[in-house]
Amino acid sequence: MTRNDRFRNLGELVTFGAPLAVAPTRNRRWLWLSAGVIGLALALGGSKVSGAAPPNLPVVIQRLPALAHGTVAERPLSAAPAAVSMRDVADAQARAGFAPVVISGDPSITISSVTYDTPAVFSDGKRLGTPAIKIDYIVAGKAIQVITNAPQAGNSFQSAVKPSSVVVQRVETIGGSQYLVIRTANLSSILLVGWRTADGRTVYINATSSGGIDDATLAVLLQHAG
Amino acid sequence: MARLRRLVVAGATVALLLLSSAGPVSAGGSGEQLEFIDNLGYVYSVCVYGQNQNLQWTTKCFSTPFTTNMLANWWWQGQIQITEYDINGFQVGTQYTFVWPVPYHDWWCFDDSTGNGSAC
Repeated sequence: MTRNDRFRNLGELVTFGAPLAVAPTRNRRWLWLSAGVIGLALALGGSKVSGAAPPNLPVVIQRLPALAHGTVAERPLSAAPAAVSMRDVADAQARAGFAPVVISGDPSITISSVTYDTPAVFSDGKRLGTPAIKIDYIVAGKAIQVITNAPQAGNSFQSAVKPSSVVVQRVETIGGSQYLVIRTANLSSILLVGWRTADGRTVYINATSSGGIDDATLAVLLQHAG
Repeated sequence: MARLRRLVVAGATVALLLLSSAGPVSAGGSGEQLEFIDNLGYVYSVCVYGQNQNLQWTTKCFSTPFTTNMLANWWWQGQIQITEYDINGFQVGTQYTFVWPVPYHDWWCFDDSTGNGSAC
């Protein structure tokens, strides 16, 4: 390939396939410089984009009919689910083979325990659950759990709810991403937040045991979730 | 005298049989069945881990399609752990309740929207 061929190819690259107009030799140096500047800009822009969290998958809520009351039978197990205590997040990640969503960078948030959970296997061979990493946090004095389930294929977060007079279950858009949010009936406390990451991990923030969290706390959690 | 001895042996045998028989669990005597109330409206399966009426550690899993789910025929006592799953089988969280065997009660009601449990 001659030097002129290289110029021509570069011109085609910069102009997105349009043939380069006849360029005087003196201007070709500027062409190189321009290409360098554009390339640098693309590289910087690209790194910025890849550094930002991609949006969650869209949330779809299916509302199922009411089944108020009933007796349920045990499903016989061939392998019981196990909750294995881990030393730390890195230990859990190494065990699970995927990265959990971790909330960090705020002094009011501390991790109290990390658990790797295995699925239940029933005697008919069916499974309940995926490998999951559960991180217990204390956030401003309240205990919350963040559960990251192993990635699964799919392009949306398909959820289903039962009718409830006690809570409100709805899709909320926060920071440009969709979340399933379950609030107390007066909307003041958030009990459960669920979403599916772009790479297919289903994540829940569960604050039921501490009576729920407010919107400001949720904003802090999501801001520091990564 | 021999007759008296036979009576004593027979009585002792009957008493021993009665004491050692594995009869039905008395109401609230050594455990409670779990009534899982899904006020969250989001939990379709649970696995319960804890001690049964014989103080044996055990795990049992149940589908919970109802709002009020009677997890019948399994009796629990002490601290139990309830792991909850959504309709797709993804884990939603784990909650705990301390089951106090209460006389004349067979059921322990647990509300997943508050994490509170009580005899019911």
